[in-house]
Amino acid sequence: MTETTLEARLHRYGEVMEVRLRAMANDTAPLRPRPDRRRRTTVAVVALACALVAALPILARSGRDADTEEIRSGPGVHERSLDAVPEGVSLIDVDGQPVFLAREGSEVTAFIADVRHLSGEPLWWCPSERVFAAPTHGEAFDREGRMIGGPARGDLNRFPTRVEGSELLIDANHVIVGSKADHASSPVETGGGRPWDAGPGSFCPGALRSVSD
Amino acid sequence: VRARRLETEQDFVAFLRPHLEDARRALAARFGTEVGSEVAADVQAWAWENQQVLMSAANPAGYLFRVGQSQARRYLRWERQAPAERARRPVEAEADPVLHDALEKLPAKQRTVVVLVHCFGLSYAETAELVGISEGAVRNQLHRAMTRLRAQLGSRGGT
Repeated sequence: MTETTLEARLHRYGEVMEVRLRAMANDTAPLRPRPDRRRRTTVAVVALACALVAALPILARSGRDADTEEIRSGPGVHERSLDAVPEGVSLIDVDGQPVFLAREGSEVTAFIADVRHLSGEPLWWCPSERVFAAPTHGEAFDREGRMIGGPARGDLNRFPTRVEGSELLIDANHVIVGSKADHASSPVETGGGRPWDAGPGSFCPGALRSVSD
Repeated sequence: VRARRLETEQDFVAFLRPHLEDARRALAARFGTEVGSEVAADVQAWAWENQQVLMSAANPAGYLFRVGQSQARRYLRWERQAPAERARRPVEAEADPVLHDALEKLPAKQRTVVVLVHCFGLSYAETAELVGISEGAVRNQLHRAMTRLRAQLGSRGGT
């Protein structure tokens, strides 16, 4: 490998950070041009190429729209009987990760129970309000996973799914990243500060919780 | 009224974007990409709730960075209670583990400055404004950081 200076090595490291920051902010805007400091153009080009090569697997995993790809049985692809998936929203575990299955006839969507704000925040399905909501910061998403309130970075992420006869295939190898929100909006309105899931009259009674208390 | 409100929101989006970008980079330089990104999302929510405060600030990006720093301290406290989160290696660590570990060993201020200048390509003046220190202090911290990195990485610190 060509010998590089510490500055070039830091620059390459920075390119990977920048790509990661963009991916986490779910930001597809082109990177703002940055000044090339004390580096010859050739070094910068080599560094950029190396960074792209390093970032390819990450981009391939997070940014790929696997909706259109055929899902085949194999490692990371979970199969379950369609009969075991009730109509409406249910909660399952995929590789230790809580996933909400939303079934409408033979259409099943697998929403990853990640509110896309802080790590580890629980996500609830509120059957009476028909929304996904998080009691920590009031993030809310409609039945299709579209963000409707709170500080989430965008719509819910999904795993690609396919129904094959009476089998449901969930491809946990790929993530379909939800669209980015234009901006943070107000937390979900619980109506007069009603408590969450505290019985009749509360907000989100009988919640289906991604993390049990 | 709705159209005017939308117009104002779009103005704020345009105003906020570059400052938030800089603050996100500074938070990533200080805390790493994982915590930095999480905190930047909180900072964005804070910005929407405090539009007037931010728009009247002399240095909005620096202001957001300071808001993020106090958010991050709370976040790191929470993370200590969930050590599994801490075990995750950020992607930049996978790209150059040796350099990542050397950067982790630097004092926070030196790491922030070296990452902003050499990784994100900010000028000394931009870094000084963002972090809230003088340009002379940026040069000083950077010199110390580069000396330590070269000492840790051997030869010229390259590959």
